[in-house]
Amino acid sequence: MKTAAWVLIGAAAGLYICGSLVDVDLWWHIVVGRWILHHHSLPTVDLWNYYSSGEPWRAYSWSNEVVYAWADAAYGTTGLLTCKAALAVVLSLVLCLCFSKVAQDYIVGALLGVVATAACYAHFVLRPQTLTWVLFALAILIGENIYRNGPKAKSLAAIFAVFVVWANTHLSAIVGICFLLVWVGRYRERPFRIKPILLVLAAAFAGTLVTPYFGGEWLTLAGKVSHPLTHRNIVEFRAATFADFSAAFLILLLILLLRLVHERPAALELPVLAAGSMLAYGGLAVMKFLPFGYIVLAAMIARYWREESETIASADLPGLGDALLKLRVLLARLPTAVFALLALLVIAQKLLELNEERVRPGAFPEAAVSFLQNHDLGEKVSNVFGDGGYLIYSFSNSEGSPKHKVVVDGRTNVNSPDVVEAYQEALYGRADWSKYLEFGNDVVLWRSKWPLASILEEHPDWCRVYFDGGVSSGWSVFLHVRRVQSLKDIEPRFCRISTDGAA
Amino acid sequence: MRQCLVAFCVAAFAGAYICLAVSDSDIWLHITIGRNILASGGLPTTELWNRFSVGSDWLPYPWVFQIMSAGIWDAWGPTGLVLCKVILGVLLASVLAWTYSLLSSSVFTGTLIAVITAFAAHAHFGLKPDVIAWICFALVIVLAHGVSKLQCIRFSSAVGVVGIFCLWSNSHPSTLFGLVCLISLLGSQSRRRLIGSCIGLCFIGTLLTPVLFLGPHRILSRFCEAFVHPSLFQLLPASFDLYPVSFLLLQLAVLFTLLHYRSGLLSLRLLVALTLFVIAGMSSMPLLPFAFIYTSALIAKALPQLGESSGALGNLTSAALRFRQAVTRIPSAAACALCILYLSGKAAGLLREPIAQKVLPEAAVSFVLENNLPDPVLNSFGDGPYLMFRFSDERGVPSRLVSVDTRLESNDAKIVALHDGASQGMSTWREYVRRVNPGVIIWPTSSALSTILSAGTTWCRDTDAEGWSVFTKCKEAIPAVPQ
Repeated sequence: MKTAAWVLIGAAAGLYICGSLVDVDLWWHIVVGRWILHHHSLPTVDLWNYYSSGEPWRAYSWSNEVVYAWADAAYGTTGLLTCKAALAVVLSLVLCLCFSKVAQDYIVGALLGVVATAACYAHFVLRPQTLTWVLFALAILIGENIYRNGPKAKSLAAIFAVFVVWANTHLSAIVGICFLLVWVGRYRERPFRIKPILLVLAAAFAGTLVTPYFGGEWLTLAGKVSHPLTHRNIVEFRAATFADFSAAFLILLLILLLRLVHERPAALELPVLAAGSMLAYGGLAVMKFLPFGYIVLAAMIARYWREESETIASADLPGLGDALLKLRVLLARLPTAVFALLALLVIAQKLLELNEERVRPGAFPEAAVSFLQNHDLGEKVSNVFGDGGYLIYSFSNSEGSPKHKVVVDGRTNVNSPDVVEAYQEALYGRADWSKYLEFGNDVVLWRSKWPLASILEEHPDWCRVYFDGGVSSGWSVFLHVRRVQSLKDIEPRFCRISTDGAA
Repeated sequence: MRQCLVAFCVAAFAGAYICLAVSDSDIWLHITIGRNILASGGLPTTELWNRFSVGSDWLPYPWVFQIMSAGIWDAWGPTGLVLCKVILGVLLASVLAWTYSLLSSSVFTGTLIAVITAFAAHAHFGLKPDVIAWICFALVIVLAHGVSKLQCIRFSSAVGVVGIFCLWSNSHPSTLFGLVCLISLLGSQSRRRLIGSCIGLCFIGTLLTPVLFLGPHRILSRFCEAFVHPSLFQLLPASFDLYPVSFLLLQLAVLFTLLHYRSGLLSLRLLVALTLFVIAGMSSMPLLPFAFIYTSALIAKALPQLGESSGALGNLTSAALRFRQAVTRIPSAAACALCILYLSGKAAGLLREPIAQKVLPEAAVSFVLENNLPDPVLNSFGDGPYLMFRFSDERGVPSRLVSVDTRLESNDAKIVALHDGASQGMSTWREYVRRVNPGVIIWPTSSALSTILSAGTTWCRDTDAEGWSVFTKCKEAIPAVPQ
């Protein structure tokens, strides 16, 4: 019963963070997956971006892309949402399992797992990077085993397997390798033993070479490593501010850890503390990496709990430690069946909610893209960076081959630098906004509340031919006057030329 | 004595280093209000310069600074202003060096920490009343240290507390921070009377303002200004990739490294106060310097307590000792000469360009005034103070009113929200323009609103001068002068 309740709580926490489909990059991943399934090989050049078509490109997240494409083809949005819910449950359960094993205490582990899962709420989307959080937790779990029992063959094989999956999922395997090397070391031992660290490094690195590109992902990483700093206008590459929900979780975990370490400084070794702080700071500097920060801090608290188990048991840890102990005792006293029932209720309610709203309304320019397709305006649309993925999906067939290519899309290593530079001007409504539109074909699909929409609305050479969702949340389609004549059935109320009679 | 002289020279170097040409937009409104106070011989009690709040109740809380800046500007102009900034920088760094030297019982360590703290405040330092508040904050730490040592308040200390809080409350509405700092440094169960007396003295100090004579109902609001006018603190959360935040994180890393080796170095009370200051600074960037100063004070306080166990710090202690040896090898005279040389070079550089012209819409405003372009003026938030200055005479009396300025407490909240939307190029820009119904628009050329206006046919750009555009309605546009 206890195990069942533990699993149900983990599943409930996972489903809690799972919302309807909202991620903009999911769509191009599906298209790449479709292409792979149809051609039974991986693309080696880009096929979907007008200005990078034919340039070398690696589909390093192919394993996830194939799954997404299959789920979409077989069950549509239901299949994709099922994938997302399953990923959420797996994430939560793995976090609970990892922290429970590290802390050697299933209640504290579950508590940390639930907190870390809840912290991931704002970041959780159906994307390959989400799977890396699961892999990171698994790597820490195996690393803890190596720290306690030494580098046995079974553990090294598990490390190898984790990094095979990681390398075929996302470029961030290096984060896992670096932290794992710090986590497995016993730095207080004299003489210091380097062998376990080298064995772990060898197993992990060997795992990253088992990919269709034979480890070529490392070269992609080398070319992409500066992107979080050079693409600051992308939301996930922004630095967290103190007022962000996600940052608050990290800071709370950090305060808890520091408070505990303040009581017993020797419980965690300085390299572990330093590496954990660096990852936490990395997450604060680039929000995309925040989940690694949550997982690391929770794992450190779990290790602290285990290291100080004797002190905790003898109630020698004053203040916060004592409070945590009391909370643990209180939770253990509550009937397991009540927990299980509550978790079941949360799961049922969440499943109903997800079934009602599979795709978040207003997250994608569905109607605007339909408008473009109906009027055959899909060729070289000047679009918003984040909408590129959805355009790739809408303008490709079931085999993943594009009918129209996009000007810019969410793959930061694909876009032409000239296009990105011009895009920035248009994005912020600067004087050179029109340069970006020169890359398109006199058709602009833009968010109605962004500066370029206001500029085009004022400009006599441009005509708004489509508008949805209101000024604060919808999309607009603008056409240059020279192309307006070809459209017979446009809404005249949106077009200044038609209303003013100036055309 | 020689050591103190070298320390002062080094602190002066740090203070001068963080000084740049005057670029603080708010200084212009301070000068304008200061001129008005000097000319009228009393504080204005109603708003005079903002079009949407003119006539409503308002009091200039940093009036001391405003009188000072107006007096300096009228007497010496830009040169006086920039020299005042250098003096303020040197004073800040020197007070910090004195404070940390007392806390750490070492002039070398104190000066080093002060230099780092001054560098940390580099991005925030300007010719503004906040700097006086930082100096007061550091002086409160010194007083608390002295009172804590003596376990009683001497008459001189009592006068000091009242004096500091009097200056502080007439400069900046952040006196609450001083109180928190004082309680955290003095606080313990056995010192209740001492703390009570200090709070009383602080309260008396904060009452010694012109507000006292304007009605008792304002006294409480004056003391709790932070809560009455939370907008004064400009809730602008700090982003973790910013230069000042990195300094704070480094300071915290040093502090927690010390605590990691000896957890009992600082009491929980001090750590709680530290957390409060860090949270305040990270939630509202203008408050970050308080967090720098307090964190440095805790480091300075912790260091002498390490005593014999400083050896436990291993390489860190060894590195610090070597650094100290290397620095003390430099002859005092040479160190002083280098600092004075730097200070003179810096002063000469600043005197060449005392005011950063690039940040001011000087040419655009001159264009508006010379051509007598029609009222009202639609302006951006940051340009408001300079426009107040240019549109007022030498007595601080305005001939034109601004639509928005940086005094958040005297702006119309709806207008500020509409202004924000317009500056981001959102479609609500029309509403902002409709509400202001301007005859002329002065706006930064690189901003989205300028692009929108120039894309349309209603507004014509009359000039694009040094980064600012002036727009008038197209039928009223000034005909271009043939070249």
